[in-house]
Formats: sequence, C-alpha cells, structure tokens
Amino acid sequence: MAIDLQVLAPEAIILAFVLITLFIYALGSKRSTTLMGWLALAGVVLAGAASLYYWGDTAPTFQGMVAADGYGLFANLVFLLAAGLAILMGLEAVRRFDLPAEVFVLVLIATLGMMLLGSAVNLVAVFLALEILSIALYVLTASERDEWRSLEAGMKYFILGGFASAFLLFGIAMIYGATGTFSLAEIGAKGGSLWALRDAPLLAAGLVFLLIGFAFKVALVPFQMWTPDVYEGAPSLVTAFMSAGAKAAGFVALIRILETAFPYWRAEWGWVLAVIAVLTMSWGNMAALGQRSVKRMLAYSSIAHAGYIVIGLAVAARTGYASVLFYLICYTLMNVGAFAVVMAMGRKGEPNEDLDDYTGLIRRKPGLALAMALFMLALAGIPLTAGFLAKLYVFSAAVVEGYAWLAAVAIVNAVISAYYYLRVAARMFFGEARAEAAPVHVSAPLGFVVALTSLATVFLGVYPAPLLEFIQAAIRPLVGF
Amino acid sequence: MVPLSWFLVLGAALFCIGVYGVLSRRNAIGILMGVELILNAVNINLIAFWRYRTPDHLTGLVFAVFVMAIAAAEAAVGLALIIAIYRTRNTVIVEDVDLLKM
Amino acid sequence: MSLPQILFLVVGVITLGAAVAVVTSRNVLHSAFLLALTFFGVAVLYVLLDTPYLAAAQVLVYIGAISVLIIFAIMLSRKVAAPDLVQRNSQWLLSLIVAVLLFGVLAYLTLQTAWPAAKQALGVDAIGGLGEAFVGTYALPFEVVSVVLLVALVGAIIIARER
Repeated sequence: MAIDLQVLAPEAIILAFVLITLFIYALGSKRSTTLMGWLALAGVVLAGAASLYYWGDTAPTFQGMVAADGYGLFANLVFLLAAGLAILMGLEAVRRFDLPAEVFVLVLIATLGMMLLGSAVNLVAVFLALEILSIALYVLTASERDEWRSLEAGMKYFILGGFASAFLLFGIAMIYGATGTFSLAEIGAKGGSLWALRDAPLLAAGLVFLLIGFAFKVALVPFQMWTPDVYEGAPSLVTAFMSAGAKAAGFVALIRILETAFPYWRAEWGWVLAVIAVLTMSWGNMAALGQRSVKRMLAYSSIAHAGYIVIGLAVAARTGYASVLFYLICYTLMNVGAFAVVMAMGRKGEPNEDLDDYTGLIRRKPGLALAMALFMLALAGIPLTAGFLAKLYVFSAAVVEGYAWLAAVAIVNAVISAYYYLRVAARMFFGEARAEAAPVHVSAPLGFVVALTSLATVFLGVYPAPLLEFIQAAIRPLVGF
Repeated sequence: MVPLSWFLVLGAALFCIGVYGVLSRRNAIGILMGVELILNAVNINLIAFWRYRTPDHLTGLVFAVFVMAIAAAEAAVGLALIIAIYRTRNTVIVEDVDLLKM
Repeated sequence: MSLPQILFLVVGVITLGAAVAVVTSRNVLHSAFLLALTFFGVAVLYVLLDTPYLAAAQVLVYIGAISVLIIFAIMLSRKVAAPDLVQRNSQWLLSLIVAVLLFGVLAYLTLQTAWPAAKQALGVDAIGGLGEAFVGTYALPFEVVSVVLLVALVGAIIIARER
C-alpha cells in the first residue's frame, strides 16, 4: 500500500506549527506571545499555499480516510481564512483581554480539526476530526481569564457538545451495524443495493442520529439553544472563529456525508432539511429582533444565517452546494468583520456590547462605524455587498430546484432581519453618544482585519465571477461532471 | 450462544438511561456521567456489530478503542472545567442548561 | 439456556440496574461508585464478545481513569455531594418520557431486523490484528487521536491553572 504523505501536506504544516508555537511557549518569556501569534499566522498562510499548490483534477485519498480533492482543498481555504483573521484578532486580544498565549495554539489545532473534517471520507476520520475541533473550541470558549461569563459558556458548550458527539457516535454505530463499514463511499454503494434493504430502517435511524449530532454542532433549530449564551460568553475572536469556521466545517462535512453515503435518500433528507431551514432562519431572526446586546444579536443572527445555508443543502443539487460554499466565504468575511468591531469596542471587564455603546459612533470613530455599517448591510443582504449575492445564489438555487416556497419564506425572513441590522447602523449614524462613553482604540492588526474584511465584502459583492468559477471546479469531485 | 439482538437491546437501554441522565441532572458532574453511559452504549453496539457481522475486518473494534481514548480526553477537559467553575463560584449546578426548553 | 446466556442475563441486569441508579441517585458520590460498577459490567460483556483485550482496556481507562477522575472532581467540589441537594431538574418527567420513547423505537428497530443467527468463529487474531491496524490501515486516525490527547492536555492545563 503506497502511502502518499503529500495528500496531508496542509494538515502536516498546521501540525508542525502547532508544535513549534508550543515549544516557543514552553521556552519563551512573556514577550514571546506576539511571536507565537505571528508564527501561527505564518502556519496558516503556508497551509493555504499548500492547499492551492495541490489543487488539481486528481483526488488522492490517504488510506481511505481523507481525500485531498478540490472540495476538501477549497474548504481548507475557508477555514484558513477564518483562522487567519481570528489569529490577527488574537494578537490584540491577548493584550487587551489578557487571554492566555495558548489561544494561538488552540486556534491552530481547531483549524487542523476543521481541515480533517472537510476532507474526511470515512466516518472514523469524521468523528475524530470533529472531536479535535470540539475540544479545542470548548477550551477556547472558556479561555478568558477572570471572566465568569466565559467559563460558564465553556461549561455549557462542553456539556451540550459532549452530548451531541455521543449522539453522533450512536448514529455512526447504527450505520456501521447496517452496512458493516465506515467508509462513506462503501456506505453509499451498499446502502443503495438490495442487500441492505432489510437493514434500511437501521441505516435510516443511524442517519437521523447523525443529523441530530451535526444539527447540535452547527446550531440548527431545534438543537440551537446553547448558541446564544456560548457565543455571547466566549471571547469575541473565538465567537467569530467558531461562528464562521466551525460552522463552515460542519456544513462542508455534512454535504460530503449526505452526498457520498446517502445519495439514494436525497428526496427524504432534502425534505427534512427544508423544514429545518425554515425553523432555523425564522427562529434566529425572531429572537434577534428583541436583542439590545449587539454581540448577542449577532449570535442569533448566526443561527438565522445557518438556516439560509441549510436551504442550499436541502435542494440537494450541484447549484445548491455551490451556493453554500459561496455563502460560507461571504459569511466568514462579513461576520468576522462584525465581531472584530465588537471586539474593538470592548475593554477588559467592560464588554461595551449594548446598543447604547454604539450610539453616535460615527462621530467618535468614523472608520469603524462605516465598516460596521457595511457589515450590517451585508448581513442584511443589501445589494452591492457579498451578503446580497450569497443570499441570491442560495435562493435562486432553491427556485431552480423546485423549492420556490422555501425561497419565498427565506426572502420574508431576510426582510425581517433587515430591521435589526439596520437599527445598529441607524444608531451609529443618527444617535448622540453618551458623554461618559469610553474611548475606542483600534490597534494595527485589528484595523487590518476590519479593513480587509470590509474591502473583500464589497469586492465579492461587485465582482464574484472568479470565485464562482473556482467553486464550480471545487465541487466537481463531489457531484461529478 | 448469546444472540446479537440481546447485546443491541442492552446497548439501547444503556443509551436511553444515559440520555435520561443528561436531560434530567442539574449537576454538571451528573450530566457528564450520563454522557459516559452513552459512550459505553456506543461501544457495546460497535463491538457487538463487529463480532457478529464483520469479524474478519477489525474496523468496529478499532473504532471502539478510539472512542475510549476520546472519552478519556473529553472527561479530562470537562472535569478541569468543573473544577475551575467550582473554584470561582462554589457551585457546579447547571440550572439553565435545559436541553428540552427552547 | 446455555451458560453464556445466563451469564449475559445476570451481568446485563446488574449493569443496567447500576446505570439506572447512576442517573437517579440523590448522592453524586454513590452515582460515581455505581458508574464504576456499570463500567465493570460492560467489561464483562466485552469478554462475552471475545475481546478480553478490550475488557482490560475498559477496566483501565473507564474504571482506572475516568471513574477516578470523576470521584476526584466530586471530592474537590464537596458541596455537590451534599445529600440534601436536589439533583433532578424541573423537566425530569419530560426527560423520562423522551428516554422511554427512544428506547421503544430503538428496541423495535433492533428486534425487527433479521440478524445473522450465529456468530462465526473468529478468523483473525484480534489483538495482533488490532496492533497492525493501528500502524497500518488506521495509522492516520491513530495519529489524529494523539492530537486529540494533545489538545485535551493543553486545554485542561489552561482551564484548571490558577487564574
């Protein structure tokens, strides 16, 4: 058996940098924190370069566990984008919020888990990758020192995440019982054949448990209740990282699992996911309407966006998957940007997340206020932003594939969501700042994150063609032709 | 010879007891014990399926060993969290983790 | 009824009984000790499934490590074990209904499936095969597990060290 190590080159690079940064931490002094951050960033950039380098039409697999196909490599780029932005935010956060220097190591390890999850073609690899990701995120969530909220959020996330993992595992065990294998391709081949017919109910139950586990992990209604508290309690950079990267990893893996192992039940799971999509986006938007805390509002809004993304899964077709990948990139940019602004507003012990803290921001920090307004417009889906095109592609995929009613519900939802997004923008522009408002300081890395994400949000909103072509090539290994 | 279905029913029962524990406990340590019961149920199923259906391929057995390792890793992180919370607040009650409440 | 079947029934009843006590006991410390008993019962089941190696691992990992860890955590956070503390939350009845319904569905699924009647003789050397699988077919997952252990190690240190 030939062992093709280059299949795992991006993952190996990340792992090498995990170890390097850990050694620097073990040997170094207080000042080495910044060095660790830059090293972690270098690892992310190198892994991204490796992912692009190995891009090709061949899709080698490593011992039937992970595949380095275009789909997995493209997903790597999404995760690395989220990780890079999170590390840049971390360079500021370790000083401002006194986060431990290990956050850089943990972000890298979580990214490794995401990358493995995105390329996993075997349920063993899926589960292990998910565990790396989850454990790293529990710890990241609880990592803010002297902050009770953060610790409590970590606890809650751990309990629900552990429960979800156990559910997922039980589903995997049932699928194994029905088919005798963990390989996605073999499940796909056996599940559709006559041999499996008498085991079909067991296989279906396994799929249901698996879906419940994933629904917990990517926060779909009715398994979303942990999200608001965890997202609000976690440090902003962690919230940005998990709402963009971890969710993307969950969706990428879910598409691959459903499409490779359960293509013969497309109609059934498509229908179930359509219902979940309606529930998720409606619940997220309704709950976000009444929020006064901007960070909590963004947490609910991330549930709503997960609902829009599920539409792309539910249509169970090439156009749908392509629109999901595009959405994930756009959402990563505008969402991380918004959380970067939230982080810029906060100081140790004073989160400054209330709507009142944003009032009149345009006169105090015009650049920051304009960027935040842009992210709000993009999240609401206003034309000329990436958010608009992302929604447009998902909704039109739904219409083309005969889910017009789903697109209609989604459009109503998008209109409702505009209220709470635009309210933030209006407050920043037309309100009078409180006299005692704390000064807002934006450091270079944080300013870079905000600038980069806002420019990219506009760029993708007006010129998406190259990215779309890239995505079309990326999903070819998954759905053929 | 014990039929396969006996093992599976036992696994299902252990799973459901674990689910009840997770859903009904107020205490983080109690919830963690429920999760451990579920993981044991999974392993019973995996090994039973392996032994009765695909004894020539060790896949199920290998996965069961991985599940054990992961369970230990999760427990370590979870108990670290529990102790950290206890140190700050003198409590490990998780009242507002209501899984069935919206 | 053969000897293995009798053994299975005895061990099964003890295991499930202990598990029920784990999730219902009012004293967390009792729960923890009963959890160790449940783990031991599961280890005996592994022996019945011809995997004595896994039974040993079960005893080492679950009883030797996880149970002890849980008992430590209870000892270190004394108040949790106070016998007068209410351990059930307000939705326990709903939880019970969910769990019973779930068991009904799973038991039905199990019993309606036509399983192979008997197990074949074990054609492979399970322990040796397991060792080979870890460095052969499953080398990658094996390495990935080491990363999971690394992140758990780093994580536990970050969280539990004095703030």
